[in-house]
Amino acid sequence: MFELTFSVNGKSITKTAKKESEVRRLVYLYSNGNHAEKEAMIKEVIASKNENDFVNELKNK
Amino acid sequence: MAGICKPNCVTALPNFAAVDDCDLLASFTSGEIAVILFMKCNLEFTDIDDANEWETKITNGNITIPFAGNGKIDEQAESGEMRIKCTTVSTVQRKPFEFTSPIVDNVAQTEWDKYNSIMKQRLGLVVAFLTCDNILLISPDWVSGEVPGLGLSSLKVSQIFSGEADGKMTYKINGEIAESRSLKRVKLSPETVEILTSTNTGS
Repeated sequence: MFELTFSVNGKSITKTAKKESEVRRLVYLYSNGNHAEKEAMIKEVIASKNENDFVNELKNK
Repeated sequence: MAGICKPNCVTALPNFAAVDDCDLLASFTSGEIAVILFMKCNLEFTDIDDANEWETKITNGNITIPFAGNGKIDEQAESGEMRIKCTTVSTVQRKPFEFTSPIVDNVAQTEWDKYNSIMKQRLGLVVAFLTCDNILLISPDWVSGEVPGLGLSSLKVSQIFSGEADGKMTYKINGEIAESRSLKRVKLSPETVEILTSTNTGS
């Protein structure tokens, strides 16, 4: 599960995505910037989730 | 003669994702407009897929959704051409649309007045469209807090009596969007679609 918070023009929206494809859809819909910036954002969100999963996995061992 | 090469104009070209070659039909989407929406030209949305936000704005009379029908958005027309550095630049770009509905209010016969009301207020309106796949088409620049509607460069509502045997009267809405780029496609949640398709508020 991914939780994304978009803050644009002083407005804030929080959305959750179950899959990476949903992260992509939400970033393209709610964020500002060109496609390269959006792709970078998507990579960042997915990487942070993977990092958290790895930490949780270590904690559970 | 070709224009002057300006490689600095290219920053990063998009990488189109792979599609499922075995099921190409799954990668297609509807080319039909099922619903047309007009809204106040300064109406901002915080969350375009929030059913409550839509309902409030409809209730407040800031959005009107004419009866459902069938419509299309055509290829943009470009004009006002100028030659700059051996390249033709079009200074005016407009996307024509057309929407037809045969639905009328056969109980109270009120829809003609509502269409007239839309026409009377057209200078303060922007437009959005809902496709048969529940995709809302809005301004490509929309982000939270901005106006999602598309600016109109013209709008016309016609009441058509074709005169054909057993023909039905239709309302035809056509006009041009002041936009040449591809429109932002928003897959709406079922809750939001329900609000947009069950509420025919008129104006």
